[in-house]
Amino acid sequence: MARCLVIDDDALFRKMSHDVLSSRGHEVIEAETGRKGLLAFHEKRPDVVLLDLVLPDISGYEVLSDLVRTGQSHRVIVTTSDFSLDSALRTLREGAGDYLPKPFSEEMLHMSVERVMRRLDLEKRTQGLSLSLQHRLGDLATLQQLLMLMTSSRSMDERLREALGMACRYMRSEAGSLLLHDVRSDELVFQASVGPVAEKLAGRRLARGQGLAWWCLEHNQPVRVNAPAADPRFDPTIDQLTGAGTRNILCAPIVVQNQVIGVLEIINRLDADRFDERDEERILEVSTAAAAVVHNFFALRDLQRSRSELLDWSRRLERTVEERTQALREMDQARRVVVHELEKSRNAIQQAQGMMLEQEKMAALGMLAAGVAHEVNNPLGFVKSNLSVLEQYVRSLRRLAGVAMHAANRIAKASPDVLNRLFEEMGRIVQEEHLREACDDLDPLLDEMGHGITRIAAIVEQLRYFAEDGKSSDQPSVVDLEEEMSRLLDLTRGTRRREFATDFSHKVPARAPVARLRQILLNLLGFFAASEGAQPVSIKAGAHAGSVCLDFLDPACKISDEDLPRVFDPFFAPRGGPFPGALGLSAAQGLARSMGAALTASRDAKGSLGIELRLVAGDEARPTAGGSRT
Amino acid sequence: MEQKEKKFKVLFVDDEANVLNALRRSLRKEPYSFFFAQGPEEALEILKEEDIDLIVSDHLMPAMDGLSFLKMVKGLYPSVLRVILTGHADLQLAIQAINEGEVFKFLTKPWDDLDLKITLKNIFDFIDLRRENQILLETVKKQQNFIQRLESEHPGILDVKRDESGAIVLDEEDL
Repeated sequence: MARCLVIDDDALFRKMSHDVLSSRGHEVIEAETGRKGLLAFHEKRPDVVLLDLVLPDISGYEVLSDLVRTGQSHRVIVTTSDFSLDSALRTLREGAGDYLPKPFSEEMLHMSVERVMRRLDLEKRTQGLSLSLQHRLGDLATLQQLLMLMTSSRSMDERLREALGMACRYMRSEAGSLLLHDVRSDELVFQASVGPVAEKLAGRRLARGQGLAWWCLEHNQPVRVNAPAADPRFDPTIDQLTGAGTRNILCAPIVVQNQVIGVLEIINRLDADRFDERDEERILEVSTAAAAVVHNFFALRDLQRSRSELLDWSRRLERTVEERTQALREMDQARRVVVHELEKSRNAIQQAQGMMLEQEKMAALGMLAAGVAHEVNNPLGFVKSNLSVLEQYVRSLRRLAGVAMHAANRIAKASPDVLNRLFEEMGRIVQEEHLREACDDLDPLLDEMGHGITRIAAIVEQLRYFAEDGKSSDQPSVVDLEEEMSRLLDLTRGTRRREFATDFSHKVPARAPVARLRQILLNLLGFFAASEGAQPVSIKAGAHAGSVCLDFLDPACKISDEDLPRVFDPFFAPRGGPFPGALGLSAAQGLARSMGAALTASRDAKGSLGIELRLVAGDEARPTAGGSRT
Repeated sequence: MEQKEKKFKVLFVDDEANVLNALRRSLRKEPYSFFFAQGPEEALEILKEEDIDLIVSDHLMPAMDGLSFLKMVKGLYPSVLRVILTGHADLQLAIQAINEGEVFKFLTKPWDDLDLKITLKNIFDFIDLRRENQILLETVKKQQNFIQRLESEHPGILDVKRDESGAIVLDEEDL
């Protein structure tokens, strides 16, 4: 139904219009002059105006112009009895909604009113649509900007502030704040603010339960308060501190992955004095966008932090690796120095050991040489002495021979006196020179000299034999151990302190390189001969499957069970005292190993030291046992 | 004089008869009495019988080495001088022999006959000197005893008074 204003000076026409329009349920207002009509229009705001062009005070054209100015001319239906095409076109061009010439039927009036009403309705609807379209476009622009912010590279606060500014524009509000929940202190922190007191709010904290923001967070739902003073959930202290005047306020939770991480506050609607349900919907849109921004930012920040942490770690790791590498390199260097020193020491020790072994070898050789010297010096002594006596004998005999030859030459011519004197002379010489004894002594003297020279020759022969064998002695050959042993015992007799008792009832040919074997036997003799003892050292030959052995047993040398394995240490010294010849024993073991023989120590029931030399048997049957000694 | 008529007695000890024979030959004209033993045991028998002045011993002998033997002789007959004659020219042995005072001289084989004779001569000169020294010392002692006895019987008898010119002053009271 419409409200209709009839402006006409004809009372009858007004009555008739009133009746017709009322019959259809319309409300009718009447005015008899133009001025009264305009007044009624502004007061009553009618939907439709019936306007007569001929009026007593101002013309209908003037009224129409007035309504055109306020944009209401399309509500006007021009009614006139003075119909002309010209006036009709003029009024319609002016903006009148319809033109209805008098007289008109009831039906024509209804149709005209309906037409105007329909147009008004269309206009109104078009206007609403256009308005919402404009809002939508604005919203879209805002959301687009928010979305663009999400991916921008500016700082969080800057972006939040910018987003908040947009949200405020979107919400047509004066101020806004974004509060984030600090989980560690359980406080809400003003992360970003826009509006008149934004600077005073920055960084402010709200303890749990303080103000509307906390209510919103705890209940996880938007809240709107249009009369803060009357609402107990609102905390006025912030306003008191900042000097802000909150007239109305709207809060929405910011939810990221089902968790409320903060609250969005929008304060003081600009174009109205309250927030309505529609605003609640809109703030949810904004808070969702804000959540996306915050989440995105956090994700990015986490990512950046992780990345920088990773980089940091990587750098730290690199540094650690570098340090470790350096340390390792230094350790390696130090190790190398130590190893070098150790090697040097080892070489020195080996050299010293080698020298001592060499000296020990020389000592063994020295024993042999001293033995030889003694064996040679004794016969040499008496041969030399006998020689000088022989010279004296010869001199005496020559003196006698001189006189005898003189006498022999003269025996025919000389007088008996002269001859007698010569004989007397000879007799005196025999007396003086003890020639009788000398002649008696000549045979034993020459005998003994010959004996001595033979002995020396024999020793030299033995030495020559040693020397000869030295050349080819490194090849194994069959060796008669008894012969070797007795030869060495002969040669060293002069220098030994100990006696040796040999038992070669077993004939034991062994197969060994002769020179090395001799060195071993010499070292063993040297070892046993170095110690003192009344009882002789026994040497017994024996044979086992595939091998022959020489067993030395020294009843004077006692050894403990714990010392036994150390007998072959080059510098072994038992607690009991010195152990001369240990180096020689050690060298002998090394030599034995080098030729596939074994030198082992044992201890008999009385604790006496036994040394066994085990050698490969030199059986005739062995195909390799070729060599007889040459 | 009594000492010169007495011949010095030398005992040689060696396990080798050839060595003893050679020594006997080369020293046959020397004015000493020689005794020969083929080992320590035989030598000790001779020492019991004879007043030996000098022993010349080999070192390396089967039963007992020369140094030990000479040590033993030193214990039994301290006045007998001891000499080693060995073919085993061991410096260690020589040092030991001389340091331990067992031997007077250390000779090596082969020996030089002239050297040996000079050594014997030196040793007997030494013995002569020692003996003479001993006799002189005994004489001095005897005279000292005599003087002491004289002094105790006639006190002041040994004091000799002299005047400024050094002339002996006789005590008139004693005359």
